[in-house]
Amino acid sequence: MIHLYDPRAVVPQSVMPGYRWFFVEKVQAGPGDVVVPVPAGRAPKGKVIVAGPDAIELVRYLLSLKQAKVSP
Amino acid sequence: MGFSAIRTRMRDPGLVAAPSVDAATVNVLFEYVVCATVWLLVGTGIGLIASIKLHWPEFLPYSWLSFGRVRPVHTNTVLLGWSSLVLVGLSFYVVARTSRVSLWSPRLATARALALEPGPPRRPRDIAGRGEPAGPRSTANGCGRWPSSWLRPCSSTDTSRTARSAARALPEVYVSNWYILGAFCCLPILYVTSYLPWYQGGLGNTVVQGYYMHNAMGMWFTQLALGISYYGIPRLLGRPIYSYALGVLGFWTNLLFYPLIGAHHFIFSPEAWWLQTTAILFSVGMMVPVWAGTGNLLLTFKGGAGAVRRSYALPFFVTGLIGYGLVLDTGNDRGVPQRRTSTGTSRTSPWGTLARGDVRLHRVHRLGRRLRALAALDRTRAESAGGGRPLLARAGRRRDLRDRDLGGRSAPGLRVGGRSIVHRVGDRRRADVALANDRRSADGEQPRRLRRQRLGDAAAARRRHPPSRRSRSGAQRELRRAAHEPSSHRCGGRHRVLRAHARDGGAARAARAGLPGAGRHQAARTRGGARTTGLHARGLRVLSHAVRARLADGPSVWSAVAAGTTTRSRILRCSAPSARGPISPTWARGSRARPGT
Repeated sequence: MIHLYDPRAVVPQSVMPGYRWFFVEKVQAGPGDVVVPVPAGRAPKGKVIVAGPDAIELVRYLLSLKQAKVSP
Repeated sequence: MGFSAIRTRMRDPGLVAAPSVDAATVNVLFEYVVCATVWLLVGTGIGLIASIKLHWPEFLPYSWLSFGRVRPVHTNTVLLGWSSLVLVGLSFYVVARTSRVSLWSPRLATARALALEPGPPRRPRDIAGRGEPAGPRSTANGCGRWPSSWLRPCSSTDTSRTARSAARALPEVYVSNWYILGAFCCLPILYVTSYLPWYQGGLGNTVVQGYYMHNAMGMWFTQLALGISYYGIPRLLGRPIYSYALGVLGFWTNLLFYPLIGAHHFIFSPEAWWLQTTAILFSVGMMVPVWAGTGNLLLTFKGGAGAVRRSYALPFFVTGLIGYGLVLDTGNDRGVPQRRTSTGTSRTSPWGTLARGDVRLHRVHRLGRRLRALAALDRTRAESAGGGRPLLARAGRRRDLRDRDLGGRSAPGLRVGGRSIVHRVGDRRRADVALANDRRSADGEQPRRLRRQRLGDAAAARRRHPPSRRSRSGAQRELRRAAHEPSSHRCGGRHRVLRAHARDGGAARAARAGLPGAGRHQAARTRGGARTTGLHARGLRVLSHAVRARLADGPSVWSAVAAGTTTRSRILRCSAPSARGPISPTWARGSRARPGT
């Protein structure tokens, strides 16, 4: 999630673009919101980054992918 | 390179179009080139955004401008909007020229250009809207499948093209037409295969994808670009290609090896091993067509460094060719060693993948770009021959453009046209080249035979219509002038040409009508103002009409040529062997080599 929001917060030399439009900035996280633990300084001050539905779906899809096995 | 060098290149003698080219063909080419150039600007602009994003990921952080969307837009615009359009337009021109016929239906061709036009814009919107190109995603080249609506216009023009080529006046197929026809035949196959729904799941999807994206390159872009190169390079250099047989060998081996190597983009993927092995083997086999093609064209260039230096368009050909040769190396680097060394770094690195697709495309781009120059100048040249319309001028503007030229004060509305014509026709030597070129590659005849024929006809016609003393003396004086005077005539080359151009009208009409006295009439006229260049202009005109008449088996206008001593001598003078040896048609050597292929 953090990686999607700001790749350089996780890997400083990353050239992956951030997908910030999948996330919502809120002052206060509501019930049921998935809060992204973005490191301090990487998110707007006084705001909480909440994963939107697209982000949740995307991460679910990414996690479902598996390394293909090369069979002889 | 200084400005003067560029200016010198703009006077490229090889960029003189054949005077016998018909205006409709040039118009079609022009429309294609204009449309394509617009897409080139758009596509490269988007490509710039994409490449900035590779280094600066936070650049333009909007969902509809994310890299995954911008890059397909870039590739689609550049591939389909620019390359395809310009290549198709140029192949129209090349086929028409080398087959010595006019387009079967210029209107259909224009309609096709318009049909292609909405393709790219619709596609970026789709892509930007949905985030992925229609159909399976393309990996290495990033080009999505073309919309099916493209298929229809493609095949319809295909038909028109085939019909046109079948009606060709030549007994043989020039190697350009091998390539171009091959490309147009492969295009429907490519579409049908990639749209067949039976292989669209799982790994089959990948295989089809590799087939599609690879063969879009190999069977479409490469073939068209090569076909056009086989016309453009000899034409611009003013000499035949090195070997017709090598060209045909390249064509058939390309057809043999290329379709099966798409899977080399997926080495070490879960695809079947045998498919990967086949792809690698055939990638190695690609050495044959690539080196045959590159070597053939580079050997055509051999000794032509001066021409390349002077020419505006030839350097693009050279770089394109070198790119073509190098692409093979990158391809094999990616394909073959990976199989052995399991590191696969170049495969996994996005740079390798991007770079390869880009080198290849840039080759097309380069070819296309110089072809654009070729096209634009061809067009202007056609205008000077009186057959076409001036650059960027529509029907209503033709006259005033010419009138303004006549005044000799201001360049025409679009200066490119007027100026390049003037320089080209105005210079004695260059006009000779133009004439020689016209006879060589436009007619596709053995020039020696042609010359003999002309001599014979001329002698006979002269007996029938002895030229008047008056015109002969005038002609001789002109020839003396042409031989001794420096090109900076007191009238100024430019004015002279334009006057000649204008005065040429009646004479050319007479020649077209096959009037026996046309040449004589011209010679007498020429004494007044239009001097040597008038001869050139007339020579070009008369020649082209003569060629046409001969093609149509109609009444020969050689008598018209012959009756005017001036024109005849001029033509004979021009047809003297050039410094590089006898003038021969582009495929003269090939026609000898052909039985072996």
